[in-house]
Amino acid sequence: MDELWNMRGINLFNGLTRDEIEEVLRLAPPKSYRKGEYIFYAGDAADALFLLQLGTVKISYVTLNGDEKILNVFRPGDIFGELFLGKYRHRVGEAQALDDVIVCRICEETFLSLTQRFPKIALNFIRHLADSQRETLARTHALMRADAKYRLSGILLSLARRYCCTDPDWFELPASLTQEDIANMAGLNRSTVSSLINDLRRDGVLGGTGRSLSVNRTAIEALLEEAGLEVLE
Amino acid sequence: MKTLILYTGSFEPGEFANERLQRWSKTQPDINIERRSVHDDPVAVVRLGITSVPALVVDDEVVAQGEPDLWLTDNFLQSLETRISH
Repeated sequence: MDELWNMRGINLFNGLTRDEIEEVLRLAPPKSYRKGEYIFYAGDAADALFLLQLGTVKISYVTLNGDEKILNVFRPGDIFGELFLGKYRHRVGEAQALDDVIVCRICEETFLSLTQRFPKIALNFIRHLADSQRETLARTHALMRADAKYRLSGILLSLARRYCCTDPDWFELPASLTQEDIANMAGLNRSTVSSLINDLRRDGVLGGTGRSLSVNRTAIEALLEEAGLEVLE
Repeated sequence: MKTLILYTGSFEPGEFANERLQRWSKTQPDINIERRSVHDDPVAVVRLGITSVPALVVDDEVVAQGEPDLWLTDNFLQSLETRISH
């Protein structure tokens, strides 16, 4: 049996042996959160990164008008809170559990010690940062589009790439992610998103009924390419 | 007696899976279903590699996890019976 298959699935641990991963886990004991609980708040000291084992976490902030803006959504295997090593030492958003969540927290001191002992972790971390930067640029590019349909499509593709695939071409978004969450990520209002989702369902780009939402990857990629937006591999 | 552990979260799919497995176990003289909350043992969740709930664990191995409609079928239960009887 391969008990730690998921931890190996986290890019940070690529190339590490099972014993080495066990050691990491001893230093970063997992903690659980229930739906709605906060893992950190905006303004908290950014002194650790988090490995997500179970559930969905959103990072968001509230504007001066009281509107919520979602910066990102994370799924099992993802790393978040990783900017703790830079010069900006406070959280800009808050991390909230969207369902039952389990995370391992690695504090800065532990992380630095691990990278010295296992240089592969440092290399994997740099690769992770580069990939995140690339994905953020693609998402920003989509958000800069004035056309709401392409902004929404860019966000949906970015989410779909990270969710489970129930079919070679269909990606299922979890029910814990509401249309309001998607609207907040795309910088659109809820009614616009609802109407666009209906249109995209009619066009075969999206599937599912009610709260269930699936994304046809080929169709949404074709839509974005038609609009001149970049589609990552 | 073999104990199968069902890890659940706080949501309905866990209830559904638990009820279905408890019903099934009543027809299996040597099988017992134990339900555990992921919040009571997060270390086990990480060690076992559980990434979605409900998750069914047999002999420290995750045999199924996620939306129970997708895995908790008659065929699955039959294969579980076969696996356990061997």
